[in-house]
Amino acid sequence: MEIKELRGLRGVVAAVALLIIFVGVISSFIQLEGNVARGISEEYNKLAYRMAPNNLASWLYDYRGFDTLIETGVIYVGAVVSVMVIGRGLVGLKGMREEEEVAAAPPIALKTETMPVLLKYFALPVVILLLAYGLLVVTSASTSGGGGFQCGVIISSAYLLSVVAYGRRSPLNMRKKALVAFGALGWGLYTLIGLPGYLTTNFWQYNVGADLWSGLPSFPAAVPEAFRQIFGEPFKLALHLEEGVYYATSGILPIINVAEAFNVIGAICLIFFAFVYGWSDSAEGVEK
Amino acid sequence: MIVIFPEVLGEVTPTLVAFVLGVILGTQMEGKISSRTTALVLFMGLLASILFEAPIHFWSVLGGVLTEQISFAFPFISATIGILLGKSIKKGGGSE
Amino acid sequence: MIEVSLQLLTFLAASLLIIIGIAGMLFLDNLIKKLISFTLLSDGVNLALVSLGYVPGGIVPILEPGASISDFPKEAALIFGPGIVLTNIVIGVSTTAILAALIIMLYKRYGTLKASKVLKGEME
Repeated sequence: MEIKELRGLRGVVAAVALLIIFVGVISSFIQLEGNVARGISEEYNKLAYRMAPNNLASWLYDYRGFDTLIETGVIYVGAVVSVMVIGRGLVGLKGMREEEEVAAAPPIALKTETMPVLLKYFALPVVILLLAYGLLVVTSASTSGGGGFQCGVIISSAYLLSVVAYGRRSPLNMRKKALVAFGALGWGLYTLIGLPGYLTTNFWQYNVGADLWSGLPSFPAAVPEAFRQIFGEPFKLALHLEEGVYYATSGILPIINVAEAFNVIGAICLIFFAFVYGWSDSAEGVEK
Repeated sequence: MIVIFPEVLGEVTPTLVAFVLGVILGTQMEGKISSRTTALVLFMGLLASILFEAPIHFWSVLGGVLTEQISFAFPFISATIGILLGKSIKKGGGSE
Repeated sequence: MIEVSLQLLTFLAASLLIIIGIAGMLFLDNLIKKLISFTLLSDGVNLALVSLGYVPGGIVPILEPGASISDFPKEAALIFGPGIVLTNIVIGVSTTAILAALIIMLYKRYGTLKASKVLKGEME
């Protein structure tokens, strides 16, 4: 339908229909106002001084840890499907020309010779600083705002900036194999970091470093002191609060954040890669 | 268990982790980088690390806090150094 | 002067975004514009989810130096909204990527971005 067709009676009907949807949406939102139970959020707020001060990180990887694991798989599904659709024409659309001809379409012509001086000299430093900024965000995820996904997106944007600014001579030239390796490293680390918790307490991805829940009477088993030290000590912090100084540790949360970051770098850069270079077994980024 | 120095190790670990990850990402970079650009990157990194400041809950010099007003985001500096180092390791590696 | 709750205003903005997204997806002909409308729709949903965790006069859910342990749970904003929105953003990224890939393939097949022509199977 085109916007021109909406003149006259049709336009009035469309406007009324949209108005009805709008009223329905906003009234359903208004009914929620002030009716949200604090629930598990308050529990985590109460426990904040015993683990990562960034509450969102502890909620995301402790309470919803398993959920987030599956979610990191979803982004791979996105990457794989977009590669399948645009890469080699596996879908086989009817009337589509042969794969060779599609692949032979001219790649994006980026004239780096006529690049503005500012871009030429400052794009590379900016790319390096963006990478460093991403690493700062992921390493300080548990103490201040930030996290693995944010780091992944920042580093992917550095990759895209590098590709867009320098074309085929991109300095940050992550190859297909490297990207797949990053993703595999990230997802593997994320999954395997759950093993210590599973061996000791039967809970996958139990935070053995911080060991929040062992005080509960219904909790099955205690975490050995050695595990608590190995995963807890490297991230121990002194929290200077109003009530005094508390020694808290985020446990395995920073490691999970790093894993998530690598996973996201792998997946999003794969998507960019497929869009920019296409996906074929011949050497990527090479002019035919 | 061994008593690890310092007591609050969480202020040092991010710097080391950022360095290692920086080396890993740095090996993905190609091409040459002039010494002038290297100096520029290091200088801008230092400047940016003052702007970003040390993460909250960091108190010691090891964590990047000099005084109450001046603090450095050490993970940022170490990540920058790590990327430059990883890039120089890759030299001669070439493409696959 | 009438006091309007901040949460109510956020809900209003969110429903406006949602309705603009629906209208764009229905009535715009260009496939890229349809994709943009789709992202607007998901942004509206995200905004509504985040604002569900609103606490009047609240603070950021990060324990800052000098905070009080007893006051923090009452004052901090609820974290389930942003937590779910993080998941939602990831799903949005993958959906957008797939849609963009499909649009590229449709463009290669039909040589046009107009949905009406694509539906009729016209080549340009």
